[in-house]
Amino acid sequence: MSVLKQMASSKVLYSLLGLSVLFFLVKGVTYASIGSYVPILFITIAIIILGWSFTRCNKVHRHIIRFWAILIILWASIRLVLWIVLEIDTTLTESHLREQFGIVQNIISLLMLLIGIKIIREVKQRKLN
Amino acid sequence: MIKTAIFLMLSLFVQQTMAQENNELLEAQKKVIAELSGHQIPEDGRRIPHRSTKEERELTRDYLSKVIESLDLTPQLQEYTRPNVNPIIDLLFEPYRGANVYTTLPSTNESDAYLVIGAHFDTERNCPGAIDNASGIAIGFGVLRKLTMLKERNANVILVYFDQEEEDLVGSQAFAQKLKKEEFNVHSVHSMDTMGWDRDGDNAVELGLPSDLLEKTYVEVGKELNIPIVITSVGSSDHVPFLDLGFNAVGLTDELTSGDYAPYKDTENDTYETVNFDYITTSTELVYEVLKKLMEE
Ligand SMILES: [Zn+2]
Repeated sequence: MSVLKQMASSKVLYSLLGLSVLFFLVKGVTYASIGSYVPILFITIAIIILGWSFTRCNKVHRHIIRFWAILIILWASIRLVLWIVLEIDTTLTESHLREQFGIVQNIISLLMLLIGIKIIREVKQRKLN
Repeated sequence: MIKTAIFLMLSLFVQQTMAQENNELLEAQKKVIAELSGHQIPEDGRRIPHRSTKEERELTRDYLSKVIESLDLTPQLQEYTRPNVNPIIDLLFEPYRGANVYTTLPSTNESDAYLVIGAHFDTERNCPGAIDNASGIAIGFGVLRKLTMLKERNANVILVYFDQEEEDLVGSQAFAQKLKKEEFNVHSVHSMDTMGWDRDGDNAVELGLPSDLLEKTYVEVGKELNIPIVITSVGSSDHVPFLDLGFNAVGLTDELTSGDYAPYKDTENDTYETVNFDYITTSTELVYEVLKKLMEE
């Protein structure tokens, strides 16, 4: 099946996948523009591997997408746990650290967590025929 | 006889004017520290309780811009976005965002050389930061005000108030890079941090990591003004990013290594009442005289 057909058959899954990739791509470009290249390296490698998985059999493709979803869930979980820790521990005074957890940022973390979970569910349900 | 009388009257007049100016300067410095540390509400009615969160730092920048305008100079902002200290953290966190406030006092005689004086304006969370570092801000303001009154200046002077010193010196890093990138001909950088405590009353100032020239100049001027100068290798403030980029920079502070230092630094007790204003006056005089001397050379 062609990539496009495959995408059309699981619109929700691939939209969420695209959204999560886009999020890290924006992060990568932002950091690259100020001289830090780890985020852009990370997302470039992820895009290459995700792209490559389209050319492999269903099983490999599924595994790789699921792995990406787990990474997103991990990312969101670490941020949410840190937020809770900072809410409890008021002795940590670094403003920069605290400002990572404003309302908007926490909503993004939660959204990413939900996107990760939804991707895994979609992969499971649809079997990506 | 008449000549002597006129001379005496004139010198009395000059002395009085100078004393008056010094008094006015001290009052202005007191006001700056009082308003920056939440002790007194600025004229616009916006109290500055601390200078740590994004909103508080923005409020402080507005205030500092007005302080600079009071000297008939133009305040400028250097906004920056900088990565985290560890690139792995960049994946998880957003970058540092802040802005330094600065102004330039031009030379009166043609010169492309710059003397830079700086002090950070941010505080730790929930700290009023009267000594750390409203004191440094007030001294920088005082030095610049005195320099504006000079008839002749052979170098340009930049006064810069750094953002985010308490967050890994991010603001001064950004400013040092700007000066380097824009190829400013910087003679030297003098960074003042935590200069409002002097329990033993000896006026002593510590110099962190000075070059030979700066050490020599400060020691000489210190002798004239009866201010002991202690040389240290303290490298934990805004002079460090400048040294890292090869600038001739020095950090000034109270007696951090000699044991007579601000005990309430980075606590909620770093208040206006604990500031030693005699020390502010002598330190202002020291930095002013050093800059004047460096300009003459
Ligand atoms: Zn400080």
